[in-house]
Amino acid sequence: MWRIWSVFSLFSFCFILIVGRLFYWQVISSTRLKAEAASQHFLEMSLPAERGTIKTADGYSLVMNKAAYLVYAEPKNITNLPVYFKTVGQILEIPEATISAMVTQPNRVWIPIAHKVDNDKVQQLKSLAISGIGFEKEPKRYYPEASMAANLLGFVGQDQNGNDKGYFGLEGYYNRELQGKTGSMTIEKDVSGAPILIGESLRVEPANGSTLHLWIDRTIQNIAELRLKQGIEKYGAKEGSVVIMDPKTGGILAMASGPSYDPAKYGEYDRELYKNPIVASTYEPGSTFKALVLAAAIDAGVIKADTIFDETGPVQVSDYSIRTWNNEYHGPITMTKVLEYSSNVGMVFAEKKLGEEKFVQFLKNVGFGTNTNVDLEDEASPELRGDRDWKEIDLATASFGQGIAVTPLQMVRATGAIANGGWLMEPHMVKTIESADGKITDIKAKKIRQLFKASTAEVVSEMMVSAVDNGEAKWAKPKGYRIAGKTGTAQIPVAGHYDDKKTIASFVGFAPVDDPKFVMLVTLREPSSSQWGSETAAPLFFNIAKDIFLYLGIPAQS
Amino acid sequence: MKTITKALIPTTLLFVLLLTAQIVYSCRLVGDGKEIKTIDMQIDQVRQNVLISEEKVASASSLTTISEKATAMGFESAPKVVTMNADSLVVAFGQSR
Repeated sequence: MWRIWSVFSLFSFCFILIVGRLFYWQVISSTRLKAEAASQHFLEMSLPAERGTIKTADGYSLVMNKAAYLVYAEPKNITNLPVYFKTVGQILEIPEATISAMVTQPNRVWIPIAHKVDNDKVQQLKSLAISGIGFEKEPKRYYPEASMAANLLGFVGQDQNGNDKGYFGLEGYYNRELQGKTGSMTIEKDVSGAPILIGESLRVEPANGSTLHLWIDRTIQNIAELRLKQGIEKYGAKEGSVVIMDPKTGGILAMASGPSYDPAKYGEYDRELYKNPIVASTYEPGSTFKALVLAAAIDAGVIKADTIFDETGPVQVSDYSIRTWNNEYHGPITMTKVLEYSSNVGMVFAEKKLGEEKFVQFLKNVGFGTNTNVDLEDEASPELRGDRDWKEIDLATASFGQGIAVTPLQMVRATGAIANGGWLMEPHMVKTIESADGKITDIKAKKIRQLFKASTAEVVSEMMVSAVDNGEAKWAKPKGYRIAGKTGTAQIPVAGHYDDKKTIASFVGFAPVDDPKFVMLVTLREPSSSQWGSETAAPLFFNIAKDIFLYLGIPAQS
Repeated sequence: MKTITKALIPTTLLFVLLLTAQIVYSCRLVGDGKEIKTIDMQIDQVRQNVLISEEKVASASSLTTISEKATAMGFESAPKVVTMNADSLVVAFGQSR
């Protein structure tokens, strides 16, 4: 009987063992085994989307993709380690010791050696037929114009998962549109790894990134960058910027700042340089702001271009004495002359005529204190004082552009309203977005609000022409052209007070006055050859304007 | 018995024929799969070549390259440019009588 029980127990044990094992396979390890089986039967590949290109208005690429590869090692297939380290190290310019440390890690079958390696180096490696090395497509960004427009383009780095991601400028702002959508392919494969035609397959096509067509004109951008570089060197400035806008549409024709960086080698530069100072840095506009304040006062009907102001001496505001920049006073002068002489005391007169409420409202209407909504990632606007925080002296100094901070883009946009008949425009970098399937989305010009009446804009334009023809910078003006403009020299606030020797020299203007093709702002921070805008920023402005006239085929009017 | 044999022979032949056809067809499909893989690789290669060509075109037409070539060929920036208004032209350029 015990024999029967023994056999029964043995069979029962085996039965339980089999059931247990089946339970383990079919329930506990089911997911893992399914995945393993799928990996043996199916070939799964991700189909990366190509990042979109960024083109200028004249159709040239500022950023595009370049063939590049991920170079990886397969340690099990390497036949001669020392030769491998030496050859691969030499071509990829990586120390042999570094490659040795990577490749000799235990239990590794696939090791990435270098990312985004140029095609010529990969071809060199391929020609040597080294065993234990592989390549995978990994396109990288290519900048045909090198560092041109770096600050507005931004660059492509990697996110936390190692995927490409745009940072700063257009790459950051339009990252979603540019990166597209990665596709995937799952296909049944045979024992040799070749796809089975009648097998199961699922293919999701990648959606390549869109192409951005900018308002930027390549030639105007080049002119601005070359002239700015020369200007910074000539006038010994620490920094400088040039922004050129089409006043009728708000399209940015050029945007240059220096010092800049090379987006292809962004890691080698100071992070501070990544920000675009034209939209992310603030400065006090100084006298360039005077034309706008006069426009507001004329528009409100409190003064006219020929209103007489008696400039007899410094003006007392609260406990402060406000004087002219050169401490010279001209007696009875018109508002046009106030602009020509860049009279601070004359501006205090205009501001008082306008009144506190209207002046503060004007500052808000002109867009100071709020972002311009330009399509660049790094835009930041300085805040405007609260309505109750304006003291008499603050209003007085703000009338001649001190004690108020703006970005260069805010300033050029505001001046654009004088050039285009009074309209505050929304600035734009991108004109059209072209998707990979050819669908084109136009980004239309947007009028924010009418700042001044057209008649006011016309009057102030003439006052600005007069300021150029008779002002401190008349010596630099190109002959025969009607250019409206205003110089500015603002002191830089340092630890609660103004430094007499440190200034931001600037010039803002537009041309040709009768049909403005561009409005431009030039700023130079701490020029050392002269602190005055009329001797630094103004000649730089006129040099750029001359080149643009030539490029656009605009002849002299007289 | 003869009838059964008579029926069996063509059935077997048909079966063998169909089996052979199936094997040949399957083998062809496997071949087609390899061909697809080759075509995919060729498409990939063409795309890479297009990308490389685009890069070369962009590089050759960049302002930096053009500027360098122009300088090498002896071109210089005009030191002074004089423009004339249409009203003040001294001769009737491009005007027909």
